[in-house]
Amino acid sequence: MEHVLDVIFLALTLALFALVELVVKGVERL
Amino acid sequence: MSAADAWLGVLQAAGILLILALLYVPLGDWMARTFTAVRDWRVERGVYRFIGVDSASAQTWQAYARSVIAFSVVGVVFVYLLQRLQQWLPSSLGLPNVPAGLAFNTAVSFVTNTNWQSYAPETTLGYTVQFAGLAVQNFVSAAVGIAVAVALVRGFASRRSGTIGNFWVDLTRSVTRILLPLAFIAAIALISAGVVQNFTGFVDVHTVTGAVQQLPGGPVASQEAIKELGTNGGGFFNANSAHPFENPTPWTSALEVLLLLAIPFALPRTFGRMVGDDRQGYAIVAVMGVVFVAALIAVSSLEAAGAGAAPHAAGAAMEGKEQRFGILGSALFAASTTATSTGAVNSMHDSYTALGGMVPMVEMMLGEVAPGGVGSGLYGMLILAVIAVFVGGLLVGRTPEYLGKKISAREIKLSSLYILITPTLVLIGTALSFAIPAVRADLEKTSILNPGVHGLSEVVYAFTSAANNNGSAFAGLTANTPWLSTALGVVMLLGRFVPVILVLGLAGSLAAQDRIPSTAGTLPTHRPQFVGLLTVVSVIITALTYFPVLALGPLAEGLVK
Repeated sequence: MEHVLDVIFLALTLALFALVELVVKGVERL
Repeated sequence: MSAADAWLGVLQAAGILLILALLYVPLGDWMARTFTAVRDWRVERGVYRFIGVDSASAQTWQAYARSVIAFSVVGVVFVYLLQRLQQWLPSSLGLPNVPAGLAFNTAVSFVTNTNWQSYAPETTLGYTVQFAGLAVQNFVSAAVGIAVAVALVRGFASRRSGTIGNFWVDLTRSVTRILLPLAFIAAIALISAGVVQNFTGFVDVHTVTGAVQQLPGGPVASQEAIKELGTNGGGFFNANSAHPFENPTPWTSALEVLLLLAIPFALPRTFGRMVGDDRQGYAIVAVMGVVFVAALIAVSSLEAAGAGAAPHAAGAAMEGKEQRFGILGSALFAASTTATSTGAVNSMHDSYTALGGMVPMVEMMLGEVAPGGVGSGLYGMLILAVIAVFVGGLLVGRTPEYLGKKISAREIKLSSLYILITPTLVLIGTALSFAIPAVRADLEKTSILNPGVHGLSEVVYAFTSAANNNGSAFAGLTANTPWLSTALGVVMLLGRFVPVILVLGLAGSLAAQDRIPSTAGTLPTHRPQFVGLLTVVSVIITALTYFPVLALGPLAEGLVK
């Protein structure tokens, strides 16, 4: 169970930073 | 509270403000020289060689932003893995691996300079995680904040430039030339005053009643110094700066307050130097000073006059406060830790009077700009200055420009998004906590210590603290639950990096412009009128955004009782 949570939280971390990267792209087009 | 105690408290605060005023020029000038110097130190050249960076090359704002993101992703993953592998690491005191949800929350917390702690550090983390994970992040997360602020200042100072500096150089110099030397001196001072610094682990002590008590030791002073200096706030012990091993005397408490205010209050000088007009720095620091002193007076007065039988018997609202710090020493720390993004505490904010506890909350809701976190305070205040210039232009028909840069639609869009993102995270996070039935049931059963309006205040405080990267808590809230660990982690991460990207975008936009000469239609931004306008704009934006939720929480509690 803890290993599944590891995958979930690491994926969540990457997803959140990918969202921040999208903000970079959004600001470029603003 | 006796008249003598009151005078001692006033003298302590006045003494700290005097020292900050004396530090303003030398520390601010040193930081300006740090970021404008052409020559690298030998140790810095070694770092650049190791990470493969050409220190002479400057980056576009996009490259700067992506460097911040890349550095921070690696930081979160590394601190997460350190905690999850703790039991196999050396010097871990026999402590088990940190559970996944808590490890995520803690990793994000320290990388974002929040240092929210949903755990008791002395019984959760061994020395390797504390040193290699948390202490390192205390330095580099603070350095990231300073770097972003300096990049924005370069945007104002540059003319027709496509670049805003080099993130890796700014990061490295912040550590080698500012944070490490000052933290070393501060750690020695703290050790000399009785803060512990050892590697003894847990020591069995036989009490006078014959019982055996375990006392935790550790490298506390070295972590305490950067905890305050970098406006981090994560304590070595659960009681944070209320613990006698972290903060043994009123003298160390005053020193810690000085440390956490020193860099944020000196950065406006750095700003003034780098844009070539010291008066602009004085105007910014004046706004910071006015708001900070007003908050300090408010929280001190409300705690000293605490109503009710228990405060009356104790002479003031002493619940949750250490006798050795008293009302005013506690109020000074509370006002300072939430005016910056520190979040360290020497008293329990949850025990403050309803209105007294609202003041630290409002200081965070202001965006922590008075003086704010290291770097984040300055860039937050400069965003407000852009808004104030725009508002001033609308009010009196002046040309919207700041430091010779036109404030056009793009700059206002970026500044407005910056202003909106944090309240959005706070209010949506709080609303979801009560709107989702299963989450609300768990919150009310497990997390909230005081049901009713104070319970709402506990949750609002938590999301406000997380989104503003403060880290202090209304400690009645048990936050080590699946919902709060995850939601607060998400809010901390987005509350740090989305504003940072907007600031860097603004820096790039400003750097690309030429500097236009001021005319009769230019709003002067170094005069008392602008200081007043900026102060009012800061307060009104916060009041309009947060008044409804404050009315439901601390205002309702304070005015009804």
